[in-house]
Amino acid sequence: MDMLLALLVAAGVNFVMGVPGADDIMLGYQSTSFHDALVMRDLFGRRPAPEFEAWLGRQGLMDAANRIRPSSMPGRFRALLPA
Amino acid sequence: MTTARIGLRRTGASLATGPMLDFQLARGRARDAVREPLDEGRLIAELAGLSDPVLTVSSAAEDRQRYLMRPDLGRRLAPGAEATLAPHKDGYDVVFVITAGLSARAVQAHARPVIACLLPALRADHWRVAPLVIVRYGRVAVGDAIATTLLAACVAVLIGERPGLSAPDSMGAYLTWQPRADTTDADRNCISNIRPEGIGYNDAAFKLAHMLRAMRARRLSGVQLKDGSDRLLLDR
Repeated sequence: MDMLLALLVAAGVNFVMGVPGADDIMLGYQSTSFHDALVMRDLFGRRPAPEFEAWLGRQGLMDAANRIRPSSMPGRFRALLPA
Repeated sequence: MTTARIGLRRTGASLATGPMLDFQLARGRARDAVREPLDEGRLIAELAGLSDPVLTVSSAAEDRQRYLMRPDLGRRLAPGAEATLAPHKDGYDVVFVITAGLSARAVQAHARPVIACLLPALRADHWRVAPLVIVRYGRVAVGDAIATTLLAACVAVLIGERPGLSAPDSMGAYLTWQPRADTTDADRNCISNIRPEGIGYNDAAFKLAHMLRAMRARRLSGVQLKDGSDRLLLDR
């Protein structure tokens, strides 16, 4: 799956599935994970779609160096979780 | 809350070693579950108090490898099966069929408790229940021929579901009213994810009894029949 994903990204694919932990818990399928997408961005120097990138910045999920949430959870998310 | 793989630790952008090893272990368990054989002797012994006799037949698939490669063979009975079933041909309201499907451990663990919850409820309603039938290397549609041979009005197939990474032991129950040669999967109802961490034994038996009664009352199954048992629970 990693090899296939790397080949697709190298070939310029612009959409891949993201499921938590590569495990589609409802269907019992394996797919590509959110982590995988981040790794591919790192490896190939790709960036999110511009609108998505802007949204990630506004939410505090991506820093100026395009790293996803390098430190703690953004305050607005933490507020939603049980103490 | 959930066994979904959320909030997993990272190193850099990628997955940390711990959750990666957990994933590989879960995948190994899923693969094992697909290949694991059903311990028929043990299952028959455990079912003994619930059904007399417990019948055992085979599908047309000769071994597990062929069963996995040839879904069509798993849907048909072996040539000798009819002779095993024929002496019990007697007109029933329902026949329960148990087969490993893609997870023997699912039916090994969950078939007996669900049937044990369900049979008293059906018998209290004067349902005539056929002897339990265990099928070696069976798929869902193999139950059609069994119901036809035993003259059962409907068939409930308890079968191990394709293992996922979070559940290698999930059991499904497929219900079909008056199956015939041209029955398709659209004519069936399914209750999926039967296991203690999913739909528990009592809830599964409740849903099954509800669906079986609805099938009998409306004389149909499949897409025209909806599972209203959750509504029933809310109204109580």
